[in-house]
Amino acid sequence: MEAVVVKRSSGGLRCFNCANWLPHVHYSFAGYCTVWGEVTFEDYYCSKHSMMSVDADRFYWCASCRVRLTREEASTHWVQGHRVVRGAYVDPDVRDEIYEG
Amino acid sequence: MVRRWADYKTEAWVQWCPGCGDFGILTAIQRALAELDIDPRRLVVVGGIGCSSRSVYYIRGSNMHVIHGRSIPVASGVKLANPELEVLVVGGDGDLLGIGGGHFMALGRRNIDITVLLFDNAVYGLTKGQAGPTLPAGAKTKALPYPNVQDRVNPLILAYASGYTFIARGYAYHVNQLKDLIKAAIEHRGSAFIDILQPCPTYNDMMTREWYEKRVYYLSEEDPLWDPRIRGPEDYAKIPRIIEKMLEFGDRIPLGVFYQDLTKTTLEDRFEQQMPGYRKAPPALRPISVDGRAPVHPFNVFKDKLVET
Amino acid sequence: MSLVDLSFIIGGPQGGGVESAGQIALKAFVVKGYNVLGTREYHSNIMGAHSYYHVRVRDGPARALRTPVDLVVAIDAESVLTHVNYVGEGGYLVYDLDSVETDATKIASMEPSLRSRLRRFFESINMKPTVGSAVKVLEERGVRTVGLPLKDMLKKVSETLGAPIASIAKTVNVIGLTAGLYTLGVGLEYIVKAVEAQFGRRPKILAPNVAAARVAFEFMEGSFGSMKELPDGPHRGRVRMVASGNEVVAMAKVVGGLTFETFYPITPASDEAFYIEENKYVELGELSRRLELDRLPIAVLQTEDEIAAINMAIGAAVAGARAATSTSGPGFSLMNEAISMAVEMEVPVVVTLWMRAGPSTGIATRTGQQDLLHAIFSGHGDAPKIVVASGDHVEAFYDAVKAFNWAEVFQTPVIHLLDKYLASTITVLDEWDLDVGRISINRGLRVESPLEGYKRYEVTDNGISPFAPLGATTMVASSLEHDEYGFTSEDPVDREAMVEKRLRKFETMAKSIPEEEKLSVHGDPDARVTIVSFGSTKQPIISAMEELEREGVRVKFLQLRILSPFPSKTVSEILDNSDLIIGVEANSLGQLAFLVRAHTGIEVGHLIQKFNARPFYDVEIAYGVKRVLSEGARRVVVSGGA
Repeated sequence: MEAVVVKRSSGGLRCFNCANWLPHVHYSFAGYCTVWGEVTFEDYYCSKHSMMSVDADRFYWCASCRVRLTREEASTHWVQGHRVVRGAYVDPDVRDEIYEG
Repeated sequence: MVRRWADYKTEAWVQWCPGCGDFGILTAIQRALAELDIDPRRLVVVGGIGCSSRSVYYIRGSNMHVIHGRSIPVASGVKLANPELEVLVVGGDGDLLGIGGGHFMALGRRNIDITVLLFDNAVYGLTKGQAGPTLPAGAKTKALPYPNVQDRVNPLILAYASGYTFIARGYAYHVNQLKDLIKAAIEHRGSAFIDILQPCPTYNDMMTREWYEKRVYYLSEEDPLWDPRIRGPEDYAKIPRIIEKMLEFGDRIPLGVFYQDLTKTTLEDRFEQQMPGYRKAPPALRPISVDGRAPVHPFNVFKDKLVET
Repeated sequence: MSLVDLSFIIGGPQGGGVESAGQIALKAFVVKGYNVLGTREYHSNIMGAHSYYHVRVRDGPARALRTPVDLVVAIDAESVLTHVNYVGEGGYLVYDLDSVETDATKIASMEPSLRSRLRRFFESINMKPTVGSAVKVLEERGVRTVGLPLKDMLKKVSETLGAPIASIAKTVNVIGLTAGLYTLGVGLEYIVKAVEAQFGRRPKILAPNVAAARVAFEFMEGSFGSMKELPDGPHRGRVRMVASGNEVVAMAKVVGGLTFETFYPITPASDEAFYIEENKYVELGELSRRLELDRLPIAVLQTEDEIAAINMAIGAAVAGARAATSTSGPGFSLMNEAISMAVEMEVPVVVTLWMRAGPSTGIATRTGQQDLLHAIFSGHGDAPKIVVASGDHVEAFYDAVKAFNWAEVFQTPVIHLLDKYLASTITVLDEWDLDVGRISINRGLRVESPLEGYKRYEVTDNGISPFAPLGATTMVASSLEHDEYGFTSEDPVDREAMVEKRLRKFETMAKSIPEEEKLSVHGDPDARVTIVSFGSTKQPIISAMEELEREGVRVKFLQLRILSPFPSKTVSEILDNSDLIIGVEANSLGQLAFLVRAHTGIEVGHLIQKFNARPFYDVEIAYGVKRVLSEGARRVVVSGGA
C-alpha cells in the first residue's frame, strides 16, 4: 500500500508527536496521555513531552494502516512516512459499541 | 420398607454375551442402589450407545436411552432441570471418551451432582470390536486386522484435569468393592467418575480377566492410611502422589478412590446462589402460567427497553 | 398515506460509537412521535471494520428499509466513500472536514473489491478516489454536504464541561448524529431525551452527551440558521418499547414460560440468549407472588458446543422443563442428530433458528433465508416436525410462545425460523402489540402422578401419549425404536405401530393448528397476481404492495407461516386462483418455490431473489414485481445495500 504522508507539526512539540501519547484508535485527533492519565487533543503540549521514535524492542501501532507492528516493521512504516506510535487508545466503554460477530 | 437389589431389575432380557464383565457391574449398581434405598422413580439412568448403555433397560428407574456420546449433556439437562433426581450416566469408553470426549470434559468443569460410570473394555463391542479410546498402541486383539495405531487416553487424569471431584477405579468382577465405590460416588456431592475395568470376552482377548487379575490391587491395601480426600489447602500436598497413582497403568493397576475434592460447589449450588429459590422452584417443576396465561406483560419486566414519548 | 417518510444511514468504524449513535437517533424519532425501523449492518470483526445503521422513519408503520436515503452521517472516510451512491438528491451528507484528503486506496479496513470499484468509478470521472471527490460528486448531484470540524467541536465540548472527555467515540458520534438530525428537523430536546433513554439519567454520562449535542446543534444553527422543525408525529404521549428481534423473542420466552435455555455463542443468536440471561432471575408478577418468591429462576447455560446445547435442552425437557436452545445455520447442522432423537423420543423442545448467510461459516453477521429446507428436513429418518417462520417482530413474539405450546402439546421438536435481519433490526412496539392477555400457555397432556403401568408411548388415536416428566414414575424414554413402555423393540409389529403413531401425531398437528395460523393472505384477495414468501420479507413486501397499489398494480401476498406441516390444500386453492405467481426469497435455490412445487405440484414461475447477504428493500421488491409484470422476467436478482 502507498504511504500516507503525515504532516509533521513544524517545530512543534505536541501530543501528536509525543511518545507518551496514544491516539484514539478511530478518531486520532484525540487521544490518551499515559503520563497524565487523561484524554487530550493532538495539538496540546506539556512539559513532559518526549519525542516519539522507533527505538525500543516492543510493539508499535501504525495509525495510518491501523495495525500492530514489530519494531522491524515499525521502522519500515516510519521511513515511509506513516504515522507510527506506541499504541492506540480505546475507550473504556467500547464494549457498549461492539456487536456480536 | 427397605429395597432389595431385585427391586432394581426390569423384565428386559439382559442380552450381553456370557462371561461379559457388564453383568458384574450391573449387579454392583443394583446392590448399591438397594443399600442406598433410592426410590426407582427418582432414579434417572442415562445411557448412550453401546453394550454398556443398554443398562438403561436393565435398571429399574425413570431412564433415558439417548444417542451415541451424548448421555452426559442429556443427564446434565435432567439434573439441572430437577436437582432432586438421582442421575447416573452409564457408558462405554467409546461413548464417553471418544465421541463424547468433549462432553466428558465439560461435566468436570461444571461439577454437576451426577455419577458417571465408565464400563471400560477398550473396544467398541456392539459394532464388532474396533479399538476403543483406552486400548494401548500396538495392541492387537483378535478383532483387529492390524495392531492398534492409536494410543490410550488415561481416563483418571482426564477426569482430574477436567475438574471431577470424585475419581475412582473399580473392576467388574470385584462386585462388592465396586458396589461400595458406586455408593460413595452417588453419595458424593459433585461430578463423580468411576473407571470400571471390564473384560470383554468376545472382542478383547488381550485385556482378559486373567490379565486384569494379575495386575489390579487396592490403594487402601497397599497403604492402609490412604486418604484421597481434599478438605482444604492442608491436603494439597497429597496431590502429587494421587497423580502418580492415576498415571500407574501397566504391570500394576491401582483400584479404589483416588481423589475426592470436598471443597468445590456444584453448578446447582451456583445457580441457587445466583437465583435464590432455584431448588425450591426448579425448572422442571415450577408453574409457568397464571390461570393458563402468561403471568406478566413485557412492559412490566423489560423496563430498560422503554422510551417515554 | 404517510406524510413523513425519511431514511438515513449512520456509518462508522465498529467499536467507534455507531451503535449508540444509531440507537439514540432512532429513539429521538420515537420520542418525537414517529415509528421507526432500523437495522445494523456490520462485519465479523470486533473493532475497526465498517458498520452502519440504516433507518426508516414514518408516521405510518415503518415496514422496511429503502435507498436512496435522505441523510448519511459519515464520521469517517470509509463511511463517506462506502455510501457515496446512497444519498438521494436533496439529501444531506454530514462528514468530518479533516477526512477530505483521505484516499480510498489508503483505507486499510475497506474491502479490496470495494476499493477497486471506487477507484474505477472515480477514474471514470477523472477524479482521485478521495472523500473530497465524493463530496464534490454529491454536491453536483444536488446533495447538501455539511463538513464538521470535528476536532474543534470536540474541544469545545471539553471546554464546556471543564473536564476531559470520558468517551471519545460516543461524544464524536453524538456530535455527528445531532448535526445529522438537525438536517431532518429533529431538535435538541428530543436528542437529549433519547440520550437519557439510552444511557439513563446518570449525570456523569448525561452531561458530556448533552454538551456534545448542544455544541453540534449550535454549530448547525450558526452555519444554516434556525432549524426547520419537523412536526411532531402522531405517536406521542405514551410509553413505547424499542427493541431488536433478538430481544423481543427473549422477552416472549421469559413471559411465555421458558424455564431452561441452553446456547453456544453464535451470531446472530447469542444476543437473544444473553438478554434472557440478563433477565434469568425475574419478577413474574402474580406467579412470583403465588410461589412466595421475589423472583423466579430460569436456568440458562452456555454449553461447550451446539451438540451439548440441544442434548441438554432435550434432557431438561424430558425432565419436565419448558426448554429451548437458540442457534444459527452452522450450529443447527450440528444439532441434526439430536433433532432426530427428539422426534423418535417424542420430546417437547424448541429450537430458535436465526438464519444467516451460508453455506458453511458464510457471512456470520449478515442475513439470508437459506435454511428453510434444512429446518424442515433436519434429522435423519422419517422425522417430521413443526417449522414456523415469523414475518416480523410482533409475529416473532407470539410465535415464540406458540412454539412452546405446540412442542408440549404434540411432544415434538419445533423449529422457530427467524433470521439475522429480524435479530438485529430494532423497531418500536406498543403495549397492545405484545398483548399478553392473548397468550395462553398450554402444556398438553401432562401427568404429574401417573398410575402404575404407565406407558410413555401409549398408542392413541391421535398419536399423542400422556406425558409424565422424569421422576414421576419408572419409565424409559428411548432414541431406539421402542414398545409402548419405551423399552427397545425390534419387533416388526411394534415398529410399524410406533411409526404409524408418530405419523398420526403429525397429521394431528396439521389438523389441530388453525389454518389462519399457518398462512396469511395480504392485499386484495381477488388479485390474480400472487406473491408467495415466508419470514422477514413480510413487511418489505407489504410496503412494496402499498407502493404498487398507488400505481394501480394489484397483487396479493401469500405469506407462509407454518412451513411444516405444509398447508397444501389452502396453498393450492390460493395459487390455483392466480395467473402469475412470484416468489420472493433471500436464497439462490428458490427453497420455498421447491417446497410449494413438492406439496402442490404448482410451479412458482417467477422469482425475486436477493443473496448478497443484505436485507430486502421495499423498492427492490416493487421493482422486481414490475419487471415480472412488464417483461415476464423469470428471475430478478436484486443487490442493494453496502
